[in-house]
Amino acid sequence: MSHGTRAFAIALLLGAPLAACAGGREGSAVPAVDARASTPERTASERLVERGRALLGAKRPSEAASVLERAVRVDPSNGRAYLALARARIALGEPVVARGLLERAAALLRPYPQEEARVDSVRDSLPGG
Amino acid sequence: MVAAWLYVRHVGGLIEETWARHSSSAPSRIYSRALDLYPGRTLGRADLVRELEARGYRRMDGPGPVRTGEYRVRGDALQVGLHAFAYPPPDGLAAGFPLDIRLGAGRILSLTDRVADTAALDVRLEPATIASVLDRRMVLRSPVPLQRVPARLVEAVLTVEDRRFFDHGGVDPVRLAGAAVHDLLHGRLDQGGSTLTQQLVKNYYLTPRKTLGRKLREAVMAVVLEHEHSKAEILRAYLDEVYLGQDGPVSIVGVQEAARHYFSRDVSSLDLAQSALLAGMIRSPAAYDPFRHPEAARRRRSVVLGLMAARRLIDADQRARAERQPLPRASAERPLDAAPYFVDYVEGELERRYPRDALRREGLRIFTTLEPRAQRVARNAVREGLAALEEAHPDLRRSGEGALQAALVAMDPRTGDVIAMVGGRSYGVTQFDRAADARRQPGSLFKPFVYLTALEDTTGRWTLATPVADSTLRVRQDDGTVWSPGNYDGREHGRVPLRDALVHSYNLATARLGLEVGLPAVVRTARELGVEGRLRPVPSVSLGAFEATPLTMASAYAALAGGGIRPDPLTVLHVVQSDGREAEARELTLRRVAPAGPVYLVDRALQDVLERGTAASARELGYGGDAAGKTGTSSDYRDAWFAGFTPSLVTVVWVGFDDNRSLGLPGAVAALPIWVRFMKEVGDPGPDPFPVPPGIRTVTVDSSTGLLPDGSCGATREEVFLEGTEPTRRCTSAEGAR
Repeated sequence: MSHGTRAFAIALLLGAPLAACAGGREGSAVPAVDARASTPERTASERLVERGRALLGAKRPSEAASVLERAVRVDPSNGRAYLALARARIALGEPVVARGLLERAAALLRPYPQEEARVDSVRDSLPGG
Repeated sequence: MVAAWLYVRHVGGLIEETWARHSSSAPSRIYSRALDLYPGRTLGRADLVRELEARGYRRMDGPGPVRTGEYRVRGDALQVGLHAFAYPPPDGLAAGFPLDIRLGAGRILSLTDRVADTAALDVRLEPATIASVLDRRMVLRSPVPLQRVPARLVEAVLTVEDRRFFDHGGVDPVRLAGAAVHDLLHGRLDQGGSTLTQQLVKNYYLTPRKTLGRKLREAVMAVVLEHEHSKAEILRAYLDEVYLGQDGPVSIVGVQEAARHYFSRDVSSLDLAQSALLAGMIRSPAAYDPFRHPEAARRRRSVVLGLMAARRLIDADQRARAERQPLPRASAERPLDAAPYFVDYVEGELERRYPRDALRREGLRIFTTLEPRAQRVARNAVREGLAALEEAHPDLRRSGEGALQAALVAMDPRTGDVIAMVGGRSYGVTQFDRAADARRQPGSLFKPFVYLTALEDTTGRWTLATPVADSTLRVRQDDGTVWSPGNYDGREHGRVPLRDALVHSYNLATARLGLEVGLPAVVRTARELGVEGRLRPVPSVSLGAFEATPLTMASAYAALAGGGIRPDPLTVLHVVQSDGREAEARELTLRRVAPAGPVYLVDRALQDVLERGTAASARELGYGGDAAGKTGTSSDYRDAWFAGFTPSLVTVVWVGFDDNRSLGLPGAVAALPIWVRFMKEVGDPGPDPFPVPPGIRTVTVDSSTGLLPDGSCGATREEVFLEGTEPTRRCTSAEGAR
């Protein structure tokens, strides 16, 4: 079990708000990303985001995309799931698909400047900016 | 001698060809979405039970542990014997385990893995099978390796069907002699005396006629088959091919399908009692069907258990325990019947890539977006809604294929997932899919695209408060004819704000607006939103005088629900080959097709449609949630529509006659009540506010002029504007009084 996954599991068992462990940057703890961060859907979705990121980190983008699509479907309001999925699509050489996902990520993460900046940075890395 | 040799060679060739075809042939299966379970998820007990039943789980009321494929309700807790399930990669096989689900206040409170005695975090109820793509024989069959068939089942089958299977060479002389004596004594051919090999030969190659010639041929072929194949191969083929009953028109063939059909479990987890029942059914699956003839089935099981005990394959205790075990009961839900139009649509989608023969024979596993609960509610909403409409308007009653029809498409606008699709009131009467294939005039359902075009105008000329004339207009068209529309109420309403023109669906104001903003621009907007078909920039296009399917309209409205981001509609998510490898994954695809600000303004006006506009009756019908929507009625009342949405669900309903006869009713009367029936059960019951994008300003304006009030004007109201388009001038008393 990865550090992130373990942290989620412990948080869930203790009934703690997900914000305490839902890192915005891989492997680090940051403040809550939005007001829905403690909903059950978000908690379940974030577990999958963590798994997807781990797969992406292990250079398995196709599998990551599959897991992250599930994360989106469990909580379609989770901007971080779209962002992570966009990264997987970029790794798979699908920048056009990634751009659409980043649009949604940006719309959902707009109230959180740090997260929005990450979306912008990924968007800037795409061909054509 | 030569003739005999040639005959045996011919038989050998025939056997090998059929053997190869049968060993790999299996129908493809179409699955619904899986149901993610997690603490806190909204899920009531009744809904959870329906979800379990839709997946074939059987309720168990008696004592004893809950086994795979069973569930037990204990107050607000459910014990579920979760099935194992092979998901598409990367998840692969998820093991089944006993799961405790505790519910409270309409939610899941906790999930516990009873074996590990720990909280279960990532749990899914596997997808329900919504269809099998069968060949003309309508046979449901799933080959299974012999290693997965429990020894108890093999023993039970051999006990009742062929005790000397491992000793004979295809024909059992002892058994044959016994049968021959019986037939001679009774003067007819009714004792088979067939070995498993002979039964397999009969299933594969021969007709069921009982003639001496056929029996001889069967015997020769059985001997050849035994010569060419090992006992294990023959046993596996037999267990895959044995006929074990009917599910409506569909034949249940093979022990794997029978295990699923009768016990809702994989064959590998059958216990002694279940194995004995299946083995006993081989002789006459209809007579010993445990769902229809439980007493006969119980007696037959007892006979098999007795024979097994006599052969010392089981002891007295095992026999007694198995005798006490309850028989399986039929599942209350029948998901195979629930979504026929959706299944047809999915098959059509797949046929572009996979030949129909491949779908029928290659055992593909097709994972779709369908949500069983939403589909069930949609089907009921259409049936009950149409029945209520005919009750209130008896002149609409027609029988058979001429009956009043409806279609419903429900889509998640955030992903494009089609979660429910109903293409008509009865698939049994007509299979034409009105949801995906009926091209009908959308009428006023098109109007929001005209208003969006205006509000997208970057000059800021148009706002929701801008007055537009709702007065008679006559337009000379390119072909020389004059087009002059009218309002549904036959009146003119003078100068009205854009918002009111949309909320009340004024034709004259909308037609004028379309001409002002430019018809090519209106067509461009609609195309961007996904409206396909023959859209031409003619004046009547603003009033929806073209043709589109309900699915197309749902897709276009998804862009309005999604803040200008449109998803590609999805029905198929994954296709997995029989070897477990993924043949295809269809990805979630989004595209910005309109800026968020103008879309938000349109959404706000469409929310008003349900509050005080053409769909205000939704509240009287009992829908209390926040939603936006638009009614649609085509020329001469031939089509009645309602498209309603929240940020998480778009649902489009169409009502009309296939022969284009006038319905005589507007969308608010014919289609809206069906939408309400659906949304009351499936739509989010709480407030679902549309997120406010940046750059939106709320300003108090004079209701009639849209200018800033100065105290001497008439009524005022709050209006939303794109930043920079707010009014700066105050209205004069003369303007306000106008």
